[in-house]
Amino acid sequence: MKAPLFLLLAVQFTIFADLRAAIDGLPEPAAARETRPLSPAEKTLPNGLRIIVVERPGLPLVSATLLLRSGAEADPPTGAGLAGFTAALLTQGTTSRTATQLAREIESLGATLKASAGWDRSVVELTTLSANLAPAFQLLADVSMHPKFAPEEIERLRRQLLDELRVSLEEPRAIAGAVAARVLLGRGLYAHPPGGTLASLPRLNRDAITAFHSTHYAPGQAQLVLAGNVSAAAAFELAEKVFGEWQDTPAKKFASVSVEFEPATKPRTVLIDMPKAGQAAVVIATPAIPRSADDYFAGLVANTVLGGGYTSWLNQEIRVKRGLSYGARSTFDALRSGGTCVAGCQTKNGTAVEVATLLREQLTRLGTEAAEPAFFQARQSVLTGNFARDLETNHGYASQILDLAAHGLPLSALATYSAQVQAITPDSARAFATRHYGDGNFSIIIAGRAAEIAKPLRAAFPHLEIIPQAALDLDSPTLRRAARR
Amino acid sequence: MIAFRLLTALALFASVTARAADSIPPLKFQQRTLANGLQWIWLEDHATPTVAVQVWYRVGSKDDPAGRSGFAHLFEHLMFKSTKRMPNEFLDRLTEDVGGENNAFTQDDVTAYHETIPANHLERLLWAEAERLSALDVTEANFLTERDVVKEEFRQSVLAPPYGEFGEFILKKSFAVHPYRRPTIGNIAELEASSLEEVRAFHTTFYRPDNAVLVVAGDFEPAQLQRWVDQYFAPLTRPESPIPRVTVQEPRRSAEQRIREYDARVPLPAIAVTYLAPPIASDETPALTLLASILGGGESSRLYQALVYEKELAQSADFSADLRSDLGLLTTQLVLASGVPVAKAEAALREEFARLLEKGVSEAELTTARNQALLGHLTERETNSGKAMALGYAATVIGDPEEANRSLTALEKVSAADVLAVARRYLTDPNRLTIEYLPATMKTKAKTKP
Repeated sequence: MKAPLFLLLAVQFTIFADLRAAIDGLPEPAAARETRPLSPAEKTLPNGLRIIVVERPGLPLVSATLLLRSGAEADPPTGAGLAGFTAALLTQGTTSRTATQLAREIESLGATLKASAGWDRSVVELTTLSANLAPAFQLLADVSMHPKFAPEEIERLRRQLLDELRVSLEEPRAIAGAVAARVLLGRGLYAHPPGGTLASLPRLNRDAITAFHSTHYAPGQAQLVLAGNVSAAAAFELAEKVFGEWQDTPAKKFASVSVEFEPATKPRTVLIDMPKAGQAAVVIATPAIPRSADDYFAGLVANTVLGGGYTSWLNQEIRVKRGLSYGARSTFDALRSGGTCVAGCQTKNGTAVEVATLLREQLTRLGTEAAEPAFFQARQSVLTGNFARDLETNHGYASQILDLAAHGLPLSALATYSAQVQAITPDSARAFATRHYGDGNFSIIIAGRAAEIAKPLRAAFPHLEIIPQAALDLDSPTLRRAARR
Repeated sequence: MIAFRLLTALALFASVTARAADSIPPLKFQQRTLANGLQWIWLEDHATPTVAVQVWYRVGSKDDPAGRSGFAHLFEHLMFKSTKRMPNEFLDRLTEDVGGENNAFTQDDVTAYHETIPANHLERLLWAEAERLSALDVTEANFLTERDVVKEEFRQSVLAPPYGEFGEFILKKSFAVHPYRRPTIGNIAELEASSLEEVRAFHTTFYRPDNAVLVVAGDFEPAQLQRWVDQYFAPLTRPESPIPRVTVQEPRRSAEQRIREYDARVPLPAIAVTYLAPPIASDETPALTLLASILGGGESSRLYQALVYEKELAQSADFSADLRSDLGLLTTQLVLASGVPVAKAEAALREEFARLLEKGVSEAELTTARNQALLGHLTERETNSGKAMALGYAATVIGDPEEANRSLTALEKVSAADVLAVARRYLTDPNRLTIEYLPATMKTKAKTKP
């Protein structure tokens, strides 16, 4: 029955295309009105800090983000979570303000200030009423340049993060995601949980934190993006006044990442047994490409065919046709030194294996079948539409610029994004999947109740590894806690 | 409680708060009502070539039929299935396929359907919204599949997250008789008991022009919009029958209550404290909104500072003023830090309430609360969709779209004395329900004690 389904689906979309014209009473769209993205202004200070500004007069709001070029990928081998821990501590006290003073000052200004770390980046993000930009910006600068890292704040935050982690380790989705990274990437780059583990968080000490900060938070490693109700001239002046004296880190101090991107070459099928799980999380995961790859846009569009938007193949097969999940999607993570494609959903324990089979089927299909043209064009519209809506808000504008800035791409790419998406054809998207996902090197990870899942899973996917939740070790590529002696 | 058609989360009504009167330009909307009772609101804005189209129905999970908890939300999902002239999921063809988006959500008092589209597609969406308002035609097979989707949504939002059942338990115990006690998402048994016949009856009963508010915000010409609304919505007929309304009156609480519940999936104990509060249209709403922000908004809030930061008794501490059409609920939720005795955390929480009730709030706290509200409203209003949301919510849940502007100016007039007065009126002992929500392992321990 599996093969004919593909045929049926293709027919169905042809019918859709026909219906679109034939529906009784449906008016025709009017002529489209286009907009062009604004051109950001930029300037680099003598200390190396690059400032990018998008003037968006209108509502009295400004978003300002300081972007650093290092994040969780720079965590030491036994120190998962160091970048995130360092970022989270920034707002917990500076040399001149306590954590409580910072919270009171920033919130009284009608602003929010958050710092966090992801892969290949750390960010300090400010959103403020534009009338209070100057004092709020001072706070952004203070936490970025002069964090205190007081021992009592380190211990307090450590306890909080450990408690949050204990809660998230009960969520099937969180477990499946963390396991997928380990399965795909072993001990290499991007493999560890960026938020740390129950074993690694206690190991992070003040010396490591201050070293991380002094190495990676430096103007030569930083870019500042402002979007909103502020002129470029005013933004440059403010940034120069506040960040102009910031001393750059000598280049030799900038430590390179200690591990390589080395995706595993052998696929695995892993079931984490969570006996109390009310629903299972099911994912399929495969290595993909870095952001700098020439075929990035082909990968992006192919991913949208597979699992982007409501009408993607995965959501059609899993949700719309079969009612197996609230929603299935695929994430294409193209990072600085490598990337992954992780697709999946949550489903009741009893249908986890059916979903796993569908995930495998649709990922395989991506490399063997070119999408039907009208459907493919709609997938491209999902991407260009999301992009256009991002440009409706300060935060969305800033995040698009941050993505370019983080990867060292020219800001002119804002204006060419839609054309680059449109340039991909059904054949080039299929060819991308054949090239990168066509060797069968994909792993299946399920977090759920083994009592309901293990037997049918083993039948569909031989070489099944079952790991009890209590024995799960996210610090190890084997995923298993070493046996007690 | 909100349940969505799709996974995407809308952080819309997390806190219904306010602004400084002279710093937010008011939403310059206009409104009319058609002869068939359909209210429509429009706001012209040419900043981007997009338009937001929303239809808000005055029906929510409080209107779930008896024995059919979750029905209004299940119904919301079915509004994306076939109509007389549209095939299944045609709304996705009209939105997603051309670079737009759509979704819908169900709350206790309302169900809202919303789209953002390139402006040149506006007429098609008006046509489609009128079509599904008047000519929904769901098949048995579609009904059964989509019901399975909603059951998975239930599992995903309630059964999968460790504290997923906590929120439902709070509502169930906080309202004695009002249907607000039933969760929007429902439960598996009552979802499975529903039928296609009931779907048709629900559409006939509640999906009618005099129970709907159409909101259009963005890039359009008002004269042309008027013609389209007349063309597509004016012909819809208004049924003669009255619209059934929930008239249940929740009794006042007369004595302090305490409940202990165990849950096998929660890793750490939690505490909830609730108080009944007035309906959202109350004059006290602005003061309650600022009170909620001062107690539970952000890291400078009193509960965060005292319980999470200083004493480290809780890993999270929230206070929300969840004010709905019929009546409101003030809710504090704590998830405790590891190793903290429940009694100790509760005592510290009570101490914070006692301090508030004795000394009131400061001018600095009021300013922070107002500015945070202002920030929230401005952020919402960056998009056409956000502007339409503010208007649709005010028109239906509060009862007048002008409230989208008025509720902001009202916050400016709230004094510290007003906040203290509402705190003293509602945060009382007889109005308090305390829930201890504990890991099941604590039950075993309690039992084995001599």
